[in-house]
Order: sequence, then C-alpha cells, then structure tokens
Amino acid sequence: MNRPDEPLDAGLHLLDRQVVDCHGRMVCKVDDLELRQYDDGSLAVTALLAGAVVLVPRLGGRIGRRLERFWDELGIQQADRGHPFRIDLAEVQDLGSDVTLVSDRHRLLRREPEDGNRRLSQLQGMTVTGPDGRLGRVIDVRLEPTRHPDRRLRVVSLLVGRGRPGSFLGYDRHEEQGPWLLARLVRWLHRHSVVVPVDEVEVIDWDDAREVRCSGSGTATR
Amino acid sequence: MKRYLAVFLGILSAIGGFVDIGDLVTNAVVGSRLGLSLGWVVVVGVIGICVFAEMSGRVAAVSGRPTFDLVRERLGPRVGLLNLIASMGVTVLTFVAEVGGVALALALVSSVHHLLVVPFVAALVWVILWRARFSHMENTLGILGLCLVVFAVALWQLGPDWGDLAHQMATANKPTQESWMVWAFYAVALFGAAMTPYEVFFFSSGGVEESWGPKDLGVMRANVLIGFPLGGMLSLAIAGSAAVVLAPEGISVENLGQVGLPVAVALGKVGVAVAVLGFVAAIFAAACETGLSAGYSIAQYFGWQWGKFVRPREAARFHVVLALVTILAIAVLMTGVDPIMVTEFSVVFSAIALPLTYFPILVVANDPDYMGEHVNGRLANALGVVYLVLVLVAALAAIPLMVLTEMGTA
Repeated sequence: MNRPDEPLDAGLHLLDRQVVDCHGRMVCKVDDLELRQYDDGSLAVTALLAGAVVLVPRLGGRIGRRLERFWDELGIQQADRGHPFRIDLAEVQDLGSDVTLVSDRHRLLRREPEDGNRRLSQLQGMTVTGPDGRLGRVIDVRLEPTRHPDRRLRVVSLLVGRGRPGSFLGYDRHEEQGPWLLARLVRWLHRHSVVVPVDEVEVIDWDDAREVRCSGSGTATR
Repeated sequence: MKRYLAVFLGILSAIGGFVDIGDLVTNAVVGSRLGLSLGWVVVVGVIGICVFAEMSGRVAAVSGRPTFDLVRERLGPRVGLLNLIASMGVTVLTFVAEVGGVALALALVSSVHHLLVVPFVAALVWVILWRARFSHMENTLGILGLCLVVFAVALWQLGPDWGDLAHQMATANKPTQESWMVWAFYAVALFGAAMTPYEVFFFSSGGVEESWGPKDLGVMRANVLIGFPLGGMLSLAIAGSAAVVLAPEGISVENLGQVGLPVAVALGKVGVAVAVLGFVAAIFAAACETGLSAGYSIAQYFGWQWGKFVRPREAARFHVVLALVTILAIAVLMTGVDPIMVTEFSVVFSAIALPLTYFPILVVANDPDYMGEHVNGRLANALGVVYLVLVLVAALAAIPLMVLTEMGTA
C-alpha cells in the first residue's frame, strides 16, 4: 500500500471511499471494514467489506432495521445472503482519494462468511467508559500500517466524543483547515473529545452491553 | 491554438449551459411582474454558482472525486442517503421540466400539441445519453444555446430607458401592486434557478469525464468565471425584455410563447426563429445534463461505474438508471401536467436542496488530505461562508414563502 506513512482514520480515510480496479474502473464503495480481534486482544482492520448486507445496517434506526429485514427476505433462499463481499487488504494497491486494487474488477467480488470477525461500524458509536465514568462514544478509529504480510492496519487509538461518527468532518486532523468559522464551530462542538490509546482499552463488550471499558481517560485531541 | 480553442468552446458552452427552462421561465415571469427589481438576485445567484462550481470543479480536478462521492464520504451513508433522495427528487423534477420544455418549444413551431412531441424528445435525449460523445453533446448544444443572445439584441432594439432599468435593479423598486411576500418568493425562486444543484453535479462529474487534472484548473476557472456571468447576463436580458414589453401591458408569463414575445415585438419573425432555436438547444442541453446528473448521483452514492468515458456496457447500472429516468419523465409528462408549473416547482425545490450538497463541498475543498496545496484560499472561504449562510436562508425561507404566496399567485 502506498499512502500510510502517518496514521489514518478508518472512518475518515477509508469508509465510504470509492474502490477502483487496476484500470480505474469502479468496483464498489467501502461500505464497511472488517475488524479482527486477535488472541492477545489487539485489533486490526483486515479487509474491506461491501454490499447491501453491510451498508443497510449502517443506515441505523427503525427504517434501517426494517430495510435490513426486507433485504434479507428478498433472497431468503440464498445461503450466502448474510455474507458481505470481502476484499482482502493485500488486494489493495493504493489508498488516496479512492482505494485502488491490484487486479481487474471482472468477477472480483466474492461473498465470504465473516467467521466471528467484527465490523468497524459495530465499534463506531459504542459507549466508552473510563475510570471516572462515561467518556462518550467511539467516533473514529486511528490505524497504523504494519509490516505483516496480510497488510493489516493495526488499531492504535480510539477517537471518543459526544457526536456521531463522522461528525468531526475531518477537522481534528489539521489545525489550519478552514473555513475558520466552521472549524471553530466543529471544534467547539467536540471540545470534550479525547483520543484513547489502544493500551488503555481493557474490554470491548461487543454483544451485550455494547461498550468499551478503558483504564484511562485519554488525552485531548489537540 | 488548440488550447485557446478549448477554452473558448468551454466558455461558449458554459454560457448556453447556464440557461435552462428554469432560468427562462422564472426570469420572464419575474420580469413581467416585478420588472428588474429582482435583477440583483440574478447577480447574487451567478456569483454563488461561480463560487460553488469553482470549488467542486477544483476538487474534481485535483482529487478526481465528483460531488456525490464527497457527499457520501463526508456525511456518511445515512445523511448521504437522505441527501441522495432529496437531490434526486429535485434533479428528476428538473429533468421532467426540461423534457417538457423542449416539447413546448417544438410545439411553438410545429403547432402540434406538446404531449405528442414528448415521447420523441425523451427518446432523442436517451439516444444522446447512450451513444453520443460527451464533448460533442456539451459543445454542440451549448453553442446553439447561444442563440438566446437574441434576447439581449431585442432588449437593445427596444431602446428602453436604461437609467430606469438600472434604477429598478439597484433600488429593488418593485411595482406597488405586488406584495413584498411575492417579491421574496420570487427572489428565492430566481436564486434557485441560478444555483440549480444539477449544474454542479454535472460540472464536477463532467470534469472527471474529461479527466481534468491540476493543470486544467485555469481552463476550468475560465469556464466558470467568464461563462456563467455571461449566462447570467442572458438571464437579465430575458427579465429586462419582459419588463419592457410585457409588464406595461399587464401580461404575466404563463407559457413559453410569452417568454419569446418580447423578441417577436422587437425583431419580428427572424428574431422568433432564432429565439426558438435557442430555446430548443438550451433546454435540450439542460435535459441531457439533468438526465446524466440523475445517473451520476445514484451511481456515485452506491459506487457503481458511471460516466460516458467508458462504453455503456461497462457502466450498465448507470445506463439502466438513465433509461428508467427517461421513462419516468415521459410517464409524468403524459399525465398532462403543465411543464411550466413543474419548472416553477423545480426551481423552488432547488433552493431547498442546495445546502445539502453545498456544505460537504465546502468542507472537502478545505481538506488538505484531498486538496494538498489547492485548498480554498481566503477569498474562496470568505465567499464560501457568506454563501453557506445565503443558501441556508433561502432553503429555510422557501417552503413558508411557497405556502404563504400560493406559489406566487396570491
């Protein structure tokens, strides 16, 4: 992969980007990301996910759940109906304003079972509690490239705050990003947002309470 | 030499491309009812579309990302989907109005009822979207649309009191029989007509179609900053000639023929012939642009291959959308709905939907991850924020004004 010398934000830099093949033909959007939790507790992004199976749940709310069921019922006879299309990170050539793949798009996408892996969208929006109580929700996940052959992107920290995922609009990344008024407004709305390093994350309860428990309270974004 | 020709062609087609059925009808209606007292809105709207189109064109040239890619990427799938539904609604409504408008223009010369012409117009639009080269389509129709310059000639021939027209425009001096509410409603409608969202979908996606890079920024700016203001002058000429000819007679514009009436008075048959040719070309170009924009938005939201830079079979879903939208337009028009009324609705709804796409573009045009050294400068940001406020105000005011004035009829 070409770009990441510096850490990148999964939600801001990967999610919902256009995926194109080696000839520049469009393939799909990054509808979600596969998150794998390893035995040592570490987390990494391992693949891009696509398809209505992962896109529709992200719409959220009652309508989202209804659409999800509707989508399922439309193909109730298909064994792989609940499986998203999966693109391995090793297939990715370059991350820029789009995601470029190494191969041609012809017959590229395959539905694969998720095998107990998680999705980024399941982590986003989860409640985060520290030693002194609630810190907010997971807004975004900061990633770092690794030298591992599967090209996994290691999770290094969580961006935690009061807004919805994506509500930072990228204004946490660059101090000088304008327009001034808008930048001030967004940063003011997020004045309580913190970055929690992954070592401070003790438990991620994926299924029941859907919360992240941390040993520290993180550091201010700026 | 070839490069200058390209710039020149681009500017010419931007002039013709600026004017569509919305501009024609709204400007003529406003001119006939309110004189040039809303002329300043056209100026504000033209500056606005320049700011908006320059930003989205720059983002498209530098990052290769058209409008709806950015909408989904910055606002997420949920808000992005609401945005898509609203923008698609307005774009399809505009598309219906444009197809109906071409049919009305052809009905003017053929004396055949416009409903008989609609299927042929729609089929022709579809064939062009399917087969024609992008640049051919844009340049040919855009340049034929320049025939609308006949309105400026007509205004000059009518020899109005220029001082009086300038005074009306500068002092927002409306005729006393019209209420301020109606005046405000038409201000929003004119603003929506000048800043239709599809123009920006089309402009930025067109930039990707023609594979603009950072080196094309100069050409892009010339198109926007020269072409659109000249297009705005055409709008003013249409409003001005209506103000001079129709307003004193108490004629308020209700059909396309009345839009062309001042030209007939000033220049006779030949003028009318040129004006109708201009109507057909400009509206037809806009029909192609709105049709494409509908396909662009959906495909860009879902990540499908789109565009005319690939063969239709490589962008199959995109072309299916274009075909469906065309069928939908025929179906809506066949109900016998008046295309002029559809147009009036479409310009008001344009004003409502505008902030949805304007806001993400403003944010991304400032993002160094996308734009590198080409981020917004001070001027672009100052104007960008002013217009963010303006488009919000227009969007919020649109529905109350629409209800209170009963679409300007009260």
